[in-house]
Amino acid sequence: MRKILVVEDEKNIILPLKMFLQKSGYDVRIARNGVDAINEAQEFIPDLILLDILLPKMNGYLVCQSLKEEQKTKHIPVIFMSAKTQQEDIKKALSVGGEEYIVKPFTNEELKKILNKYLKEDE
Amino acid sequence: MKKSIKFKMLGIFILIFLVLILNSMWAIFNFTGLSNSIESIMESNYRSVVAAQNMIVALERQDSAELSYMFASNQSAADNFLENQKTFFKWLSRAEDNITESGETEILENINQLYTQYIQEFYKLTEIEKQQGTAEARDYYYNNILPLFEDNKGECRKLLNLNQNTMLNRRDKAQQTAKKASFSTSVVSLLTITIGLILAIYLTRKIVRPIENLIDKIKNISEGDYSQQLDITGADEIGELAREFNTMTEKLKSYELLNIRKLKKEKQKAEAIVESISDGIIVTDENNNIILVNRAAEKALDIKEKEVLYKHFLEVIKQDDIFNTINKVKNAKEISEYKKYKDISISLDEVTKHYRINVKPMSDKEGDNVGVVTLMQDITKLREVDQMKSDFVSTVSHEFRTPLTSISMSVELLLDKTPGDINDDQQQLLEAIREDGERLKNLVSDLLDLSRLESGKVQMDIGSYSIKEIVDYAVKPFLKQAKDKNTSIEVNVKETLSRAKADFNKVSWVVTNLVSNALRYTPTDGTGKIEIIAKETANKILVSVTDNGRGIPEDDQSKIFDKFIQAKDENGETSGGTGLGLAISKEIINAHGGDIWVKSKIGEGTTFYFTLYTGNK
Repeated sequence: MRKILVVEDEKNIILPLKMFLQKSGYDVRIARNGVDAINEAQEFIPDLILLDILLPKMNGYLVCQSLKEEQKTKHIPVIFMSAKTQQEDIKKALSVGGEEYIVKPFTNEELKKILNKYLKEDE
Repeated sequence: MKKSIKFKMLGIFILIFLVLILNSMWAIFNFTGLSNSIESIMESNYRSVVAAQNMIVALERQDSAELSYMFASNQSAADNFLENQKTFFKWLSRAEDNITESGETEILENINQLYTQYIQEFYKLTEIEKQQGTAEARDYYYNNILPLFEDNKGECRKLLNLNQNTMLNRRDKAQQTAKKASFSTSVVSLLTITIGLILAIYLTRKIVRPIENLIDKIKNISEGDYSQQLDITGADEIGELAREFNTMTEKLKSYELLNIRKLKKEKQKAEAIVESISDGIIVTDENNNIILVNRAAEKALDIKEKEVLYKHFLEVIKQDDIFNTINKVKNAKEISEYKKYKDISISLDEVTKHYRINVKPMSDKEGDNVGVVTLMQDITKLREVDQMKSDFVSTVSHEFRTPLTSISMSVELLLDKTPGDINDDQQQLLEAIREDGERLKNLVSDLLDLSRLESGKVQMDIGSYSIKEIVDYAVKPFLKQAKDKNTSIEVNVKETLSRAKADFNKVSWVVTNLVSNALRYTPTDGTGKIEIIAKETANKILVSVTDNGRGIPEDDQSKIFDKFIQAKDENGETSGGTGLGLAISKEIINAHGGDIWVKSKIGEGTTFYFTLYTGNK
């Protein structure tokens, strides 16, 4: 079973997101702030990380940067998901090592496409 | 009584008449004297002369009679003697009645005495002749009578000469009198003429000079110099005229002063109004020379009115944008075809200010263009407020996104029946939530797009594209939808048109938006028609999207490019959409340097136009 780490502080998003991912057949863990995210990633070693940018304690860019610097986690694809839509945000996300950037609000369909892109081949 | 010109003239003429009368009297006096002296010559002396001559004749005849008596001693000779004696006395008495000269009396007394002697001697002779004979008589005659006869004749001659001389004297005197009369008459005439002439000249001058003066002053007044005053005094008509004239000029002066003051006041008022207007005002004439700049414009452009007046716009104001706008408006036949304002930025002393340039042509009564009024509205504050608003909109719409994510995901999960089955009612409710969630999502994303476009944060990715390609790309997704709505879409764009300078995605977004709007309002009964046309002019491409929908009310036409403005139908409802499409379209087209506008007629349809620059790079 593929493992996905969701880093998100909004409980109203966590709920449907977790439900959607679990129903889609993934092993899902949740981290609610930046520091937790790094710890979880090192311990859980997910196949993919869905990362919000605006997080308590440590923002998404820094989380991504740290993960990419760590030997254990640097291979994990990081998908940013954010309400920030400006070009500079997207550029920054990609420059710190993010694989993809999806803008909130996204549909389940859009999310599925991305997941398929990064997880399907390896199954 | 008034000393009038009439009175003066009359006086002068009377004076001239008096002199003339004097002259005439003098002439009459002289000629009377002349004729009197001539008459006296005729009357007195001539009579004495005739008498003396006749006396001489009678005496000589008596002497002849005496001689004949002596030789023939007949009675007829004696009779002859007596007869001539009578004649002599007759003329003597005439002469005695006509004594006029001194000495004449003595002569006549001598004649009388001598003649009496002569008569007595004749009687003695007759006695001697009778008594002593002819010889004795002849001796007596030669010794006594002949000398007496000679003496007598001599006295008569004396009388004749006296009177003749007197006549000659009188003639000389008359001649002298005549000479004197003609001289004095001519002197008096000369005097009269001179006096008359002097009076005439004086009078003419006196009347004409003030009139000439008056003419000069009136000429000056007609040229606008109301300070003219006549310095003529006197009680005559000219004096009165001068006084009235002075009163008139005084009144004119005060009237003009009043008018000038009024005009000045009005001018000052107008100037004060223009100066106090917080928007910059520049007025240029038909040759683009500056004729007015108010304080606000001086400040905005860092110029001084007195330094730039009557100079060419570009010579003193280095703002091509403003000048181009002026020219565009000046040359536009139909102002409504162009956007009526342009926003520019001017940086002075490191402070950037934003101005909205409004240009309005001025026409005279004949409708000819006489210049242009350019209004510079300071929109810096507005811009700042606009920026704040954009930032706010950006933040708010951003904050919308997170809750929208959970809503849409949750609804989708429910509709996918992931958490479990739902009944039909539940499904309908969830679909309503999904639909409006979708709409909210679009709204938020449009708002964000717009606020980013407005703040200039979006860079246009300008390239050179075929306008047909752009239009086809934009129209393609609508073809099926149009077919469903029984509406035809006609694209009338030639491939030969020049390429347009455009951001492909953004401009096709605009076309998409316009076509989607058109589709929303065209009838669905099969008559619906949408036409897209592109034309090329000079250096621009004009694209139009025409529909035969219900049209946009005139009041709304100017507002539809504003945010959240949607044409409402007769039920007061909008036809979906976010109300931001046209606002975004406008931002996109303006960012390309083009214009976008609308023409519409209720019941006939609507045409949207936009322009892009051509570019073959």
